Amino acid sequence: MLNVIETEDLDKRFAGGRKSVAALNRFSIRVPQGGVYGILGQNGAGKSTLFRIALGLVRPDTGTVRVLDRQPGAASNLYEVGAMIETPHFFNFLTARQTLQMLAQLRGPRFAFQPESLLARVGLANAADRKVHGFSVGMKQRLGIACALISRPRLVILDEPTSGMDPIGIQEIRHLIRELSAKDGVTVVLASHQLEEVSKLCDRVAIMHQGSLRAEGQVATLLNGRERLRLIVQPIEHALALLNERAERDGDAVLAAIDRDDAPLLISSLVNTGTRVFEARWIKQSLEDVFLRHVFGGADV
Amino acid sequence: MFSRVLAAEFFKASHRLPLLFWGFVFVPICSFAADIFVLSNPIHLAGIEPRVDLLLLLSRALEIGSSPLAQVFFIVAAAVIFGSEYDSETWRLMAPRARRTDWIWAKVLVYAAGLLFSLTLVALSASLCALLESLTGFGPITWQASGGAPIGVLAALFGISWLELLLLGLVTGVLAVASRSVLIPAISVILVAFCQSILISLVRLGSVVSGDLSSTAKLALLPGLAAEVGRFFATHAVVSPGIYITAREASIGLASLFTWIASTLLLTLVWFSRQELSRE
Repeated sequence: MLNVIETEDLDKRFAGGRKSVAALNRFSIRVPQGGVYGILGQNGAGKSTLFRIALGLVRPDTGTVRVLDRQPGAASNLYEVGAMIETPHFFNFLTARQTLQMLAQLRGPRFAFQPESLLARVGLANAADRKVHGFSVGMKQRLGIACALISRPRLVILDEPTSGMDPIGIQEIRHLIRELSAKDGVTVVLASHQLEEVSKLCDRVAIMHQGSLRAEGQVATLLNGRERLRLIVQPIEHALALLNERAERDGDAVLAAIDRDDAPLLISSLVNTGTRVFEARWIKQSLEDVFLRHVFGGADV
Repeated sequence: MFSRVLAAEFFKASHRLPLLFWGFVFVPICSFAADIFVLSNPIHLAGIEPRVDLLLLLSRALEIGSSPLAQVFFIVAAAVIFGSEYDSETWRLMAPRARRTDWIWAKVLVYAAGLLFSLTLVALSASLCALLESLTGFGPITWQASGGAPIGVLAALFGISWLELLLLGLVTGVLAVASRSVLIPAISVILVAFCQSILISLVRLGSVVSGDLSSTAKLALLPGLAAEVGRFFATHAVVSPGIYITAREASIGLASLFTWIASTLLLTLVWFSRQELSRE
């Protein structure tokens, strides 16, 4: 299967006062073709730098990067890769329609371009002839997504696509992203802080922290492998001693990182040692738990 | 690819009315207004037969390239053309990822075309003024040149002003790319233009005494002086009594202008092609 983005040992440092700051640190990733791929990370994790490198806006210090099996910044990627990086900015003196016309002009006459349908698709049909100057942040996000879709690309990179949008706008953009992936066969790579959004939209995710990859895989796999048994027992020290490193205290409860098959044996062992078991239930972790564990808990890739 | 980038750059410029007006139309309007003011306040010198010297009017009008006040508007236009992508953070929308230098070439061509348009308007307004002068009784329109064929003289003056203003725009452009802004290059180059104008005036004052206007060092360091020397040569004007600019001196001046233009253009292209667009 083709990887739409493939990086190997990418390093990128930016000058920041006296010291340079590492934006990417031996960063290797393979984003497979098809579906929606999420990249999670705190501010400054290196997501936008990765995107800018993929688009040829920034050059890596070392390492290799291929986008659609070509060098980033290759002329043909201009048509095949659509992108919206960070908060989109536009030419304030142009209308939404003129903005799309100008950007379509850049990409050449190889496809029939209909600004109306594209603007309608992102929910800006009524604002087509308004100057971008008066657009809200959410409207600019929508126009940014429209700009990314102008040339019917194979790969769309969206950085915080729903930032600044109202709940209905968020729903519409989620629907559009799903549609792009499912109906148009476009691979969507999106970065987001909104973990709920990522877990609803993405098939695979990568977790970045301080410029390096902390975890990568299918969302379902990342979540499935992280169930824990929450036990309310007395005395709690018995359970902690029995489970040793596989348990941690969570208030009055114990969180046990064990397999499902081991649960009956654990409970019977606790009962046999005189521990009173009041409650035992499986806690399915959210993507947020997985993210926090990988970012702050030091879990490995 | 380049034709599309160029079309996009022209599309943007054509929708930016303040840029078009203040950058390329305001100066011709002022030039026309000044001509009209002179027309309405005629000075009749005794013993001189009244006539309208079209060539003289056009020559004076086309010297506008050396006026620091006019230069301010062209510098601001260049700063907006070259620096607005940084200020409005729009580089990321476009195509620096594919053949970045096309964008710089396109911006240079848009600015150069704007200058062409502006200088043409200046020439047209001077011609219109000559016609009005003639119609209001200033005498017949004459068309004589002391330096050569009138059309050749005008073409030379037009070209020299165009090159001089193009160079100012390119200096503004390289500073816009380097500083990633509109304001810094605009202010810096306006100051440089005024300083250069003062230096040229001092050099000219000195040359009246010494007869030396065009040493190679002066021409190399002051492109504005190089343009001035070109104008002196084209119009066969005297530097000081009995001293004229030679073809060799004019050639050195022209070479200085072209060298400045080529160097600033090359510097802009290299700088932009290597520039990190991690922020605009």
